[in-house]
Amino acid sequence: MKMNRADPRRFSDTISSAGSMTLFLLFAVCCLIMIAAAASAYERISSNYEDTFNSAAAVRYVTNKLRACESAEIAGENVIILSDDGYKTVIYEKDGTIYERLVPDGREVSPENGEAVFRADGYTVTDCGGGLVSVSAEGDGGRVFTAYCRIPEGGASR
Amino acid sequence: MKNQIKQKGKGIRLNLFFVEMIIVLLFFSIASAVILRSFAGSDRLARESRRIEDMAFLAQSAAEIYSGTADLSETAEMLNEKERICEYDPYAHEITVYMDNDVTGKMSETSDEYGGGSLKTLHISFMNGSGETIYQLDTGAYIPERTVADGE
Repeated sequence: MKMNRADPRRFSDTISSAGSMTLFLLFAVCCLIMIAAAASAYERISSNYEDTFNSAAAVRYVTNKLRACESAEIAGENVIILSDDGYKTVIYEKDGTIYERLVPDGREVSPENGEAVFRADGYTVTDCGGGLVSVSAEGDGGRVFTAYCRIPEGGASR
Repeated sequence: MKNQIKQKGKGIRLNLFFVEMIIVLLFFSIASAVILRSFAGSDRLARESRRIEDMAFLAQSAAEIYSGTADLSETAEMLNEKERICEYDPYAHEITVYMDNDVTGKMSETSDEYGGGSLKTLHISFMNGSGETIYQLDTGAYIPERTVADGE
């Protein structure tokens, strides 16, 4: 009568295959974790980059323009007219984009046909009184950038 | 004898796929350690730049408001208009700004008599949790002394 004994070679092969499969599973899980971590970090960096180079840059650009001009006035909703020697600059917002247009003195100044300079959602210009203007824009992640700026001496805000 | 050696060889035989997976995992763990470190570094830098940007906006706004009003309470009031971020202490003549990530800002004013008027200076500084100054800005407002002629 022949005894039915377990084959040690077959048993070691089974263990080896199971170990390989477990390691492969571990590898796949690690890969997924790495991809998730990378995607999360990239999203944060990208959002910060977008905010910095769109909304924040737009607010900085407009406030710097306000500081540099000879006089400025708020001529309507989110429309600023900056006056300098010989020309005027109109900065206005339309459909989430900030436009800029240079107009020689003596010509009609209107907020249209300008050149797009920045994309900025929720862009608002508010006259706070006393020559102080508040410029704000909203970033992609809902982050709001607000900067106060004083209109130069001699400038008039309406 | 020849048979014995063959038997021994069969005992220590490893699955080739198993060995490959061990090598791959080893390589992967080294690579992931390096990549995770760089991710953490870039994330920290992004947060830091965001924090400095917020501080710069706030400090510049405070400087602009103060240079025109020369009044700390009004400055605090205007900064709090959209979001309550700072507290004004009238006894210490100081504004404390609370930001994310353990960053606090202090805005204190000093006044000096200068040329028939007073020169008010606002010192704005932001410190991290360990008290290290990470952003600083000074601004001033000159208030001429009122004369009888001015009143007329």
